[in-house]
Order: sequence, then structure tokens, then C-alpha cells
Amino acid sequence: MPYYDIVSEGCDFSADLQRRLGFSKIFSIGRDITLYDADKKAGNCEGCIAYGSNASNMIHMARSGAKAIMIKDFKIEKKLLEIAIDNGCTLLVPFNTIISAYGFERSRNLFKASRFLSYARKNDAKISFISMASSKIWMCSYMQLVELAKMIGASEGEARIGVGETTKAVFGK
Amino acid sequence: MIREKHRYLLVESAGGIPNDKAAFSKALHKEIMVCFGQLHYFKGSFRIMEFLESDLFIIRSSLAEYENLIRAFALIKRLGNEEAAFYTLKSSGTIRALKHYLDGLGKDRNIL
Repeated sequence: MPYYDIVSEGCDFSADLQRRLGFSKIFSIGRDITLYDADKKAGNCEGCIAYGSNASNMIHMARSGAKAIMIKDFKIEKKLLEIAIDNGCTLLVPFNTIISAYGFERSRNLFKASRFLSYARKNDAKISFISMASSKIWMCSYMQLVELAKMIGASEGEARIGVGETTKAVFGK
Repeated sequence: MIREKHRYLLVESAGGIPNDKAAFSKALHKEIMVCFGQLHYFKGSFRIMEFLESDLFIIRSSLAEYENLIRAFALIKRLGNEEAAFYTLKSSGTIRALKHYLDGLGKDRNIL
């Protein structure tokens, strides 16, 4: 199965590293995908990733054609989730908040992510697991992404589909 | 007595492996223990089997704990006072299979 990942803007990696980590393609924010900050201003973000915590702005963006939404702090409102599902938006689960934290903060983020995933699974939302790494140090191999997804409660199949097919279906050309 | 089953992981260190292998191994085991906790660490029977290149090594784990070890490698970002990152490239039941995989990767590296 081909696997895909999304990294932050400015994350520099070589094609060799991409291959060694087991990914068919690593999408980069800014180069391959546009990230739209929903907390600053709600707008038309067709084909983009909407990112933020402001529910009303995120709802507006989900309705205006965002391909995926990424919730800050893993707190999602029921209404936003329903609208995202109705509009075919994929929910992104970034692991950078878990990897970059340490100690109690990491544990807290793991708990939040697992609650978020459980809620999304219950509502049959499309889920994609990404690293959202800001540099090479924070990148993960596909095996690590799959295992991290399993750690927060995804099944083996869901984890593999989330790292592979879903990301490809949303952002692949 | 039932023989314990093992799994071997091929791991790449993003910052390379220093010449002092013993100190590197000790620091790595310490970080793995932080991730696992003292109560789970002993179940893993972790051991670095071989250093292959300047940035690759093979580590052994018990079959029951190898998935947790992959997760631990994703979470370890510091060894002692230095930044570090570890990518798990492949897991297998034998060291030979990992070396075979590495040979294939080497050919691909040349192509790229």
C-alpha cells in the first residue's frame, strides 16, 4: 500500500529520505497544499486545509469547500463535525503536538487525540494521520505513523488507510 | 520452557551515530526506559545487535513489545543534551532479512 504524509511549511527533506521513510509522496504545506488559518479570518478556502479552533469560522470554511480540517487542540464541536462530514471534509490528526510535547503535556495531548479519534470514528468521519513535521527531526517513517495511530485507538486497518489512501484521495493529483 | 520470540528493527539515526557506541547505547536505553516506564521496560529485552553504517543500527525487541518500541522511537527527540531523531525503516523476524532490505535500499539510493 502506498503511504503519504503532510509536513509543515519550510520542512526540508530530500527525495531519498522520503523513499527511505516509506512514503510514496510527502506533501508540503505551502508547496503542494495551502493551509488556511481559520482563527484569523473566515474566507473561501476551496481545496485547502482549514486550521484553527474557532468553530464558526471552521464551519464556514467546511461549507466553502475545504478539503480537510485540522482542529487546534483536538477540540471539535458536534455541529462542526456534522457539517464537515456532510461536505466530505477529511479530519486530519497531526502528531506533531504529541511528538513535540514531553511528560505530562504529551500524556494530555495523547488523551485528547484519542478522545478526538474516538468521537470521529463514532460519527464515521474520514480520518487522515499526518506528522505535520516542521523539520527533519520531527519527521516519522510510515511505520511510526501507523503505530502512533494505533496508539491513540485506531485499528490496524484504519491506521494504514489513514496514512495511505485517505491522504492520497484528498490531496493526490 | 518456551523460547521467547524476538523482532528486529532497522533504525536510522537522523543525527548519525557517534564513535562512542557504548555511550550511545546507554543513552538510547535510558530514553527508551523513559518512554516505557520501569514496569514495562524489562519485558522488551531490548538490545542493539549491530551498527551497520554511520547512521543505521539493528535493535532487538521481544515480539510483544516491538510495536511500543516503534512508537518510542517516534517520541525520542533527545539523547542526553543533544537533539536526536530515529526513523524505524523496517521490522523483521531475522537480521538477515533486514540486511537484505538494506541492500535493496542501497541500490535505490544509487539510482536517486
